[in-house]
Amino acid sequence: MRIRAVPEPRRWAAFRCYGIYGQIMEVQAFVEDLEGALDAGQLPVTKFAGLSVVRYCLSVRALLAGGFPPDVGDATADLFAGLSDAETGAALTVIRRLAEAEDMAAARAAADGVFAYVRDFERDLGFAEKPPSVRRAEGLFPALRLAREIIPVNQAAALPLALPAEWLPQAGAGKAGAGQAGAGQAGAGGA
Amino acid sequence: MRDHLERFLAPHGTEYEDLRREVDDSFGEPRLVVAAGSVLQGFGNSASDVDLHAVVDDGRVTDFHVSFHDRGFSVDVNYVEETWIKDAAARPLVPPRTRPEWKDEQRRLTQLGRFALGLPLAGRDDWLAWRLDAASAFAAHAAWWWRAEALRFRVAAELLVPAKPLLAAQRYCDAGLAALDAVAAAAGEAYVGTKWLGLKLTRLGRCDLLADHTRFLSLPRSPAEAPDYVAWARGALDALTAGWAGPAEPVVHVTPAPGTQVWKVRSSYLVQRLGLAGLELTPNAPGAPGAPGGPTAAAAVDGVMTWSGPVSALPEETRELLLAGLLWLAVTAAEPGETTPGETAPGQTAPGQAAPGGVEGTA
Repeated sequence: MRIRAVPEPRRWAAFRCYGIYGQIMEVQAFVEDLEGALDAGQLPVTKFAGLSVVRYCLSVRALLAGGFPPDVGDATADLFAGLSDAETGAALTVIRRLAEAEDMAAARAAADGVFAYVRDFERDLGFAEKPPSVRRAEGLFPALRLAREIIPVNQAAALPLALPAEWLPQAGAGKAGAGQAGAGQAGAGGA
Repeated sequence: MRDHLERFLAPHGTEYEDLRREVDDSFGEPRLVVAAGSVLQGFGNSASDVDLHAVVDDGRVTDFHVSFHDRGFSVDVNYVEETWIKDAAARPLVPPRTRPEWKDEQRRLTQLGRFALGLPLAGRDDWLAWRLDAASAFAAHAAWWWRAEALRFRVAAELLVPAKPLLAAQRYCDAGLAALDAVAAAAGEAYVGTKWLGLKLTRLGRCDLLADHTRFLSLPRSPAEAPDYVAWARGALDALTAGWAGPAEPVVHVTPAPGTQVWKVRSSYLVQRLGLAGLELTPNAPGAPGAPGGPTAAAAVDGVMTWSGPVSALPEETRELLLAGLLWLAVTAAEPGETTPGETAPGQTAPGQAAPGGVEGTA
């Protein structure tokens, strides 16, 4: 058994709660956008998808250091807050390599760097294998169960819920609202 | 649009007419059903799904999603209440000044775009006519939104440059993409979704702007690379926005970010967010809240957390709180009757009142 000191348990909890929910609802979508764009030969879309996924992972990693939960549209949110120069530089190099790809062959090579970056992110969240996809029929309910696993720690750490309140076991019966889990899949509610 | 949709559906053995059956009548007979999404815009790829949007007369639904996966691709059905969507289309365009207003405005743009740019599958005559009206107004709406976003991100970038140049570069990138989206929308490519921006510029034949798109995405990897990027981005933004009737000086509106609160113990104030990080404000520091002759310390703290005025007049404490991620930034053009520094804007707390989030705890 390994032992590691954790000086800020709230940040430990925030990284895992927002990270796991974000992996299910955001990171997977960006990765699938990237894969779809590579398949279709949509060079500018691959560049934007790569930027989006790496930036999202950075913002979650920053939760372990000096950041706050990701908030779409926050113009001063610091996705690098507290991260080391090496960690920031590695992520930005992945983005840059894809952005500078001049054709699809170069984009595919650069995209491998993005996929590797995401796999490291998933491993740090505790996923030994690729997590189930909420956007696939076979992965929908495993992904939802996974998201609900974070609820006890999320609540114990007194952090705002990473997942929509409607996903709580006692909520939502007979009520329909923004971002609520429907008969098949949850809407993309913001964290 | 129908051609694009049918080409996407064919390999899955699904007919165009089959899609309407995915919309259930549980919320009443839909007033209008449209198919929307990147597939219909001709941008679809193997990761794409098909989105169906239905207007219903049921107050329980505001933005209710149900997804199906049994056709070999995802079908996402979104139910929207009729009063909400009609109000959304009728409301004037008012620049958001707070985070809730920004979120509401973004949601309005997204929802209206789906109906305005979608392909009607079924609908009552009055709702089909409503959709045509929404479609005719949408490009201007989208261009207005993206221009406002370009300005907001640029103001954020300028504020960030001295202390956080790498982050400033990210915001210049966002400002550049928003400006390009505004140009695309004004030229008729109003479909909302920044990931498709490069394809929209390609379809418009704007190779020059596609080159800008690539350059904006080519972000600096280190602080040493940031100045060149910032210099280029400023010039590119100046060129992109040259014809816009922008404000002489933007007006910023700051409000506490979600989870930001003030803790007070004796004469010390900690502005903190979610217990994760914060900044301490002490009345004894030179120029700090509570200085002799100024407002009370609590009112002064509230005053730097909720503030409106020209960007050049931004108080130093407010700037520091913004850069620390404790406040939400909105930006508008100056207008007649605009509040000036120190005045109380609509919805803003008056001196002596607790700011949103509130001063908690007293000695």
